[in-house]
Amino acid sequence: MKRKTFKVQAVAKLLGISVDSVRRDSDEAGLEIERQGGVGPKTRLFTIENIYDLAAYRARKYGLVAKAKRILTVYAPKGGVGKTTLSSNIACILSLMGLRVLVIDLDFQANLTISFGYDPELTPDEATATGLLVDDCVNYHFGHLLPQWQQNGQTQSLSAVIKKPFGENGPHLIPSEVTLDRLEALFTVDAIMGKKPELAIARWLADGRSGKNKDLDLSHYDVIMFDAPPAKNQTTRGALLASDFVVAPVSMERYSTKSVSYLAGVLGEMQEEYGKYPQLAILGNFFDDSRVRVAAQVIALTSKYPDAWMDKTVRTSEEFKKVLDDDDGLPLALSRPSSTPADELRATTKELVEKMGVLGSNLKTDALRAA
Amino acid sequence: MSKTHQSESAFTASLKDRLRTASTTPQTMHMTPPPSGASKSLEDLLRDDAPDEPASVSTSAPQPVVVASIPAATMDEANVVRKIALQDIVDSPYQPRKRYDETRIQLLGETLRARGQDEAIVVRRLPSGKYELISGHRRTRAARLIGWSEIDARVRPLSDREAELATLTSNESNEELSTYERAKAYQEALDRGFATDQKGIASLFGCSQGRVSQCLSLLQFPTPILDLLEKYPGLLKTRHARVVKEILSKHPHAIDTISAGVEVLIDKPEMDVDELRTVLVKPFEKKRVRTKPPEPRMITDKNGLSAFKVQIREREIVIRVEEGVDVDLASKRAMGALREFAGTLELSKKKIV
Repeated sequence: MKRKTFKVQAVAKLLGISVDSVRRDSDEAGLEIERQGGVGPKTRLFTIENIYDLAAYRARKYGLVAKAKRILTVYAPKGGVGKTTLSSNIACILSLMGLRVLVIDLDFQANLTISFGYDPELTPDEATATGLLVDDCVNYHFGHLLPQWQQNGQTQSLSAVIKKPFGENGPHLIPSEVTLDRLEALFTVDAIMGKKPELAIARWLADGRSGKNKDLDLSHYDVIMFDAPPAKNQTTRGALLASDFVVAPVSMERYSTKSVSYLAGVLGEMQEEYGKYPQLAILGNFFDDSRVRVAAQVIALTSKYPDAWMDKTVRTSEEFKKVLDDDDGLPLALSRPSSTPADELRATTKELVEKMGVLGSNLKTDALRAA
Repeated sequence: MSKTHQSESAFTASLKDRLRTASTTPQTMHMTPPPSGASKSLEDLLRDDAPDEPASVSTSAPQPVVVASIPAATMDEANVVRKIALQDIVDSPYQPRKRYDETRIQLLGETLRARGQDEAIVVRRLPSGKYELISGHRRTRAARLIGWSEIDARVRPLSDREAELATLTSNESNEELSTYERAKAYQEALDRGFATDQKGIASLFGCSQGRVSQCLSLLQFPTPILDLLEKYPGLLKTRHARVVKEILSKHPHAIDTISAGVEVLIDKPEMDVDELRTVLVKPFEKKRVRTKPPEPRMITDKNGLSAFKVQIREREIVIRVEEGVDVDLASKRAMGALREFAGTLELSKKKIV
């Protein structure tokens, strides 16, 4: 897959630093960056991998250390509110901030997987025939990592499942494909046998974060994100129960507002049953502050969930649809760094990072940015 | 809408009313509230889940059934321990504690489950038939958490006023209250006339007078900070409070700036005194303005070529003599000019240091 390249100005925008810092740090880091061919100035042309390497280099250089490691689920029981689009963009931006991010696609429709440039229906044979790499195929998904799927036998190792669409330093992905929905059936069997399937994901994460299982080492990830499907089932409950935060996108109309209430109910049950539940963050998507209908939903949500409502919102934009037609496997935040939605996504992610306390005080990040 | 333009803020403010009147059907969509309070960590969730089944069997079995009809308590019965249904117990309105640390309640629950209840809680009978807590708010919560249906209790016949005093004072020695919560309890005791001065409070609560005055001084803070404390009672430790007070006395008009500074403690409660001071003082520090030294001025010869460059610093004149100009002569001329100028001056006598 041939992806677009980025000039210094775009890289500066993506990393939130000055053009000079980009030049200086990429030289310091010893990155091999292509130069524009032909006559005229030989401008640097960054690949997306180069940019993530630079972000990682800067994180090391300025001693960026996550104060707390967080598990996050992007979820709303309502479909079409922008969960997947937000997930892939937030994952990309978190990673640009220098955090180590793993994002897990829990939806068999695999839209998150597609947004990172993979075709879940591509078979290895087809890949070879069309000159693609076998690594571009989705051979395994999240289910293959769980004992339920393997009939309590040996699970796949994480390294066989994981994808690194933008290189080692970009966000990592556990992809999905159509058969992932069978996981729900396996969880149901567990439920019938009284095995508490809602704890399966929590167990998997605790095992991975302990760093003791060499086939499943999640200990170095600062943020682990789930993109959950719009359902209220064992899988989504399991992801929520394991999470520290849940970001619920709302599309600023009545049905999606109601879905937040359903979600709050699920969280309430969790607190009662387990004493553990993720903290709710409501994110206004398709926002339009000039519409009375939108204002009505804002009032409904902020009056009921004042602590959960996020100040930053993402507005409706044609750009999101245009990005899908680009078909080069880059979420909007990467492919159109100077667009308004990209600005809004960055602001939203920054607010989320502060809310989750990932970086502690923001003095440090500001200093890092200013450098 | 009329043609005169409404200001943006006025328009925004009017939106709420507009919506209220515009909608013909009342907006009564039921919205479930989200849970509040602390949440366990992932590791605690799995740990707590593991020994769940065997433990609950052993505790639920030997609990005796309580007799439904309960006679009115008398003073003789006040020391008799008996089982009371947890669902009949209500919190005391006089309880100064604002927050219950979820993990500590869980720990307490585990202790209860493992060892049983060592000490009976104290309650009083309300006319409604419910029991109001005097002491044992945390034990009651822990017992509910681990699924008990009853708890050992002593029922004391207390009037409202006696109950209030007993509740205020019973917490002093137990699980530590935050300074602010103590302060509220002390103030309440003063306001309600249980004591007239700090000394009285000290003997009532069984603590030193120094502590009473230390705690009460917290209530002297301006409203924005008190509002913060109301939300986060544990925010200011005594040593933090001292710093805030010190800065407030230096900048009495910058209450909002200071209280905004205090908010950093919400995220970083472990911050030490010096760090806090740095954060609080920061907005008041003058930005250092770096003035550029003025450009040197050029003095040219007849043909416009530079002969001297004159740079003026604070109380200094530096003359750079260009190549080809006689330095001796130039200095004599310059001195001569200065002497001439000095002759016109009359300086006041300098102090000899």
